[in-house]
Amino acid sequence: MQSKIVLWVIILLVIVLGAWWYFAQTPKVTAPTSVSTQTEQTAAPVAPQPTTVNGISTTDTSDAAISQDTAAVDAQMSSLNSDNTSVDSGMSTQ
Amino acid sequence: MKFHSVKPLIALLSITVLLSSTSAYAVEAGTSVSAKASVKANLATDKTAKIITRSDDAIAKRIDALNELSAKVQGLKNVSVGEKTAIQTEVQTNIAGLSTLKSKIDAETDLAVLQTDEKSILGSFRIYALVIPQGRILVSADRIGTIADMIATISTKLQTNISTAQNNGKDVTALTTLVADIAAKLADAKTQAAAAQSRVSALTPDGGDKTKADANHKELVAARADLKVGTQDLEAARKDIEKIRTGLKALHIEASATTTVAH
Repeated sequence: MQSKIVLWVIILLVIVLGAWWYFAQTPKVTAPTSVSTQTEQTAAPVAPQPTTVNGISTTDTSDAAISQDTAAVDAQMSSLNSDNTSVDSGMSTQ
Repeated sequence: MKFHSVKPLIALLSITVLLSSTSAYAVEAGTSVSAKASVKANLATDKTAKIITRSDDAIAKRIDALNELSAKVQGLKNVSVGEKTAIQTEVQTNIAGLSTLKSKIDAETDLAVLQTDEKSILGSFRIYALVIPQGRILVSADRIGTIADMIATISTKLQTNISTAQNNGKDVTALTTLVADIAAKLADAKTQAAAAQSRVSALTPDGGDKTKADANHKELVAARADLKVGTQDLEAARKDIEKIRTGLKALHIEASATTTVAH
């Protein structure tokens, strides 16, 4: 009886070792998700952003855009006059 | 009673009267001196307090002006990083110096020393006479550069519309002249701004040297004149833009973002 148990244990051990050896030899299959993601990801069309210099568009030549541009210039001119007044008052104060 | 027998009595009485009056005068005089000293001490304390208050106020105003300048200098676009750092260092050095002087003044009890310290707010730091005008001139010069760049961009766009009009057979001679005038005005504005910047960048406090103080003031006044001319250039260029826009409208040019069509 005891010898039968030992025999079954040896058989089980051989099966487990065999299975382990089999799976260790088989090359790992990589998940295909990355491939499918790559193929599915198509570049969305990006609208070209207008180039701006100091808040003024360099491409939009419409009259409306130029009106906005001149308004921005006027705001800066107003600040410049304020700066100049500050220079004057600073020079007259001791 | 004979006079001879009364004589010593009169003498004794006289001496007593004399001594009592002298001692009374001495007490009165002593009281007067101590009262005067007390009044004098009170006046000195009052004067000291007034100087401290006046000095603290003067220092606070200067530090506020320097902090305001520092914030403006942070936003400068057309000056080099080195120049920007130099101005910021100058501003921070003055703020630190004034703060130290304030602490000294607040703790000072000697009237003469206080008077000297109060004078040094004006004489040693030259905040309003040099540092603030110098910084503000650099800020103005920088803004002239920024506005000139903005107007140049608009001018380029207007030139595009003028070229379209020309391609459609319109006479754009007057408009082209205006574009050229804008270019000339912008070039001069930038020259003036650079000159103003160059005049004031290297100025340092006079430290009580009148000749140097006068030379510094002369440069500040000249830089201010440069800024005035530069500002007038920009105003003229701004007017040219309006003239061109009106001219384009007269030629029935309606500009669009992609194409410009002549009607």
